[in-house]
Amino acid sequence: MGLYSLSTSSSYAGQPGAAPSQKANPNLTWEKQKAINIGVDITLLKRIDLSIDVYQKTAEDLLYRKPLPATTGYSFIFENVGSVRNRGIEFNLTTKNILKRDFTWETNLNMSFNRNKVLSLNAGALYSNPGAAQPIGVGHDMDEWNLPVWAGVDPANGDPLWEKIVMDANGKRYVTYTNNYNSVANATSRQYLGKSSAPKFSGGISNTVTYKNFTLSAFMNFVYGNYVYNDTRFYYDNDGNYDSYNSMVFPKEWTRWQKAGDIATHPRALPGGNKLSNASSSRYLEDGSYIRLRNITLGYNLPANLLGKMKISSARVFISGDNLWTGTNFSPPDPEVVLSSGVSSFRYPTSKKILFGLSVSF
Amino acid sequence: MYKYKSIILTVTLALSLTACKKNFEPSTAIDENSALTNAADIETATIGTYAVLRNPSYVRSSHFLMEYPTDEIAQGQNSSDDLSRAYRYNHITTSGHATNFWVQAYFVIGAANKIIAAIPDNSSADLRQLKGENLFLRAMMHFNLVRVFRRPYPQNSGDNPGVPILKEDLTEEQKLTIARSKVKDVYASVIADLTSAADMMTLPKANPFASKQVANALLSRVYLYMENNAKAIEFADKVINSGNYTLLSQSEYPNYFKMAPEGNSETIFCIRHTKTEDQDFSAIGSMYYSGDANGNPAGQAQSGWGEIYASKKYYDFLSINPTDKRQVFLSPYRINGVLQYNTRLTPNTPMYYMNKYNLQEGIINLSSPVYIRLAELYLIRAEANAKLGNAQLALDDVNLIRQRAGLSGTALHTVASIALSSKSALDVVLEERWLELAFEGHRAYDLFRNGRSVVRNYPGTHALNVTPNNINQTITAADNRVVFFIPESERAKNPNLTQNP
Repeated sequence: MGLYSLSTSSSYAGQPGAAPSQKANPNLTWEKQKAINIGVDITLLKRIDLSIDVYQKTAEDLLYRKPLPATTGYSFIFENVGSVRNRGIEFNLTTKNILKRDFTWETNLNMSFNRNKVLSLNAGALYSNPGAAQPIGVGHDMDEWNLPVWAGVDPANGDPLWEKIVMDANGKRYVTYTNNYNSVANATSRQYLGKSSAPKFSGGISNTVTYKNFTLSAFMNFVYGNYVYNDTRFYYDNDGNYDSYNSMVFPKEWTRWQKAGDIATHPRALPGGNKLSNASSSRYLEDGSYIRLRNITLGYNLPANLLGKMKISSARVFISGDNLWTGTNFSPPDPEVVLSSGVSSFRYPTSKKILFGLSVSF
Repeated sequence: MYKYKSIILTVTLALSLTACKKNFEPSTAIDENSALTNAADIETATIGTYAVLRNPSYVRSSHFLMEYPTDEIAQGQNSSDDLSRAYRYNHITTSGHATNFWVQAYFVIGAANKIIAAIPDNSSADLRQLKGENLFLRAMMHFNLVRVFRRPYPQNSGDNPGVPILKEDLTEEQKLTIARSKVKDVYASVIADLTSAADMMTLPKANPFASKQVANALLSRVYLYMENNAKAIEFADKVINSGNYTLLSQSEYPNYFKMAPEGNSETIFCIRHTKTEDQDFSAIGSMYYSGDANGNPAGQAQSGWGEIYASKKYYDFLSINPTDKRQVFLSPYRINGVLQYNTRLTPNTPMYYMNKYNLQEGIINLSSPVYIRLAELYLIRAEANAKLGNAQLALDDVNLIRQRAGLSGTALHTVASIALSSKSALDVVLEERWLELAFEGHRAYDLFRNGRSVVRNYPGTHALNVTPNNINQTITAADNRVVFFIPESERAKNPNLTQNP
């Protein structure tokens, strides 16, 4: 139903007002989900527990806030845009590797894989959200990036370059290169990159080892195959555009163009910026894969015979570290993002913590 | 503990029972089918249309687009905000402020169209007034859009592509795929809307709202932009002779932007911001001024960003007559009498703070931006007269404005005195418009529609456009960047929108 909303933002000169907020769509129907799910739980030799889940979910009449041109008077409409399929496997494996009286070792590994594909869109549309960085296109992952393509640096003059698609008289597409960003930030030259903000797989692995009164446990999680738009670099990797932001320290594989003939990853730095070089493009799209040691803890339970004298039922001392190590190719500050957005903007780096503890119960 | 659990359970149950109602009616929204059924509701909806103007995405973004391309502004340091591109003329097709402005302007038009369609022309005076107000808002938006996104009317006599004209009778399909109309057709539509708005509005309204003379005042400006000078004078006369407005006196004038707008006899239409609607650091005024509530300037980030200054060119021009009262609208930042500079650039930028968007009702960053005021009408009449060869009439109006600014004697113009300084009547009218209406979003249009150039010869970030820095920048009226790009995100959704070169 079409709505007028009442809020403080629709009041004016001290009087309450109402503004059109939602466009009516009389054809709206429920989204339909078709799901097939097969699950298996296996226990082997009392030592191996494995559960596997395989699924395929197809959403038809997918409900989506479809953006509208402003000339409609609205910014979006709720619409049943098309059908989308998700297929995946999830598993959880626990193995008890060593089971002795004084010595145990247990490992848990869980992983999930998901593939997403837009099967069709209504009225034969190619995109549900044309012009967006992730436009929902037929045959593509819903979260696949579609951006002007960064083509590096012109060795002759240090200019930024982008791929510009031109068509000849026969409709054949050619890739050319240009230093004019405004000529590539459009439907013709934006390209699907085969890179999605959704990971190919993610998961976690934990190990727990106990030996006599000692316990050592470690937990790692990982994300693989997702691409993150590192918006922070718009500010900190801008080729001289903004003097109000510090420039980031280059990872060693990055190079700055200095003189004619330089093959460099970064354009010539100029006060005031170099030809819109930090505008939105695949330049700041980075592999967001990482593996992180979430937590490692070493503990020691004080022997019971020692505690009995002090009327203490149990006591444990431990040292624990959070986020001590991360493996990633993502440029600083931090590869972790909200996966559904795929954008990292001024993210505060995940803090490392070391904790010493003593827990006593009476 | 158990007791609490049972309470939580009861609450959950109660909530789920409410949610079981079959048709859920949101409490902060009204069904559009019942939103426009009676006069009170239509008035509420009209307030909602005005409220879009107050949205920073409209009022702030449009200010940047209209004001920052001028030669009265100096940006002292490059900002990551898209506003820098409006100042430096290094436009981008994905400009955030251009997109904001386009989107909000069409939202105003869309909301106005619903009300225009809901009120028959033979309704009561109350309803006709509201219809007229919505017609005014629709016209104002189309006019601002065509100003920002398309070349001045005199170039090619308005035969260039303009912006889409959105009327109440378009189908949904037409609104999705609408193409750009020609500049002259947009102007014709604006004039038709304003003419019928002036006819329908018969009730007195305070200056945050539209009324008959508000429509006439904008008509006068629109005709001036079209170089229909006779009509510009005719409508300026209507407003001036209506008796609804008077120029503030010399003594009141320094407080022009500090008083609550309803008490200002000179303001014809403004975008009202009440005391609770202070935008603080996100306000327009935050870019121009940083200091205390008494108007004493302080360093950057005290109360605002203080990154955008009056240009040295404007400051020097205004300082020619030391008694010019308009100097109070500048607050140069001095410490112990020593002018301070923003040192981010070489050469350094003098920190001439400007306070036309600050200090309303004692609140540092509060302002109700003035869209049109009586002084402009005198100057419209003067410009039209100058173009029609009525130099004396033109100078009379210019002198009226100069006298109000505290000037007298040889500071006033005569036909003989301007001839002596080799200036035309049009030259002095445009100079006076610059002195009087600076920072109010006029200057760039005044130059470009008259075929003149924006000439910068003072420190500012425009100097970063070339290497090594060069503070001289000239943008001619024929330059492609006199207008902004059509927002790329809108073109992606409507491929019929062609791009500006």
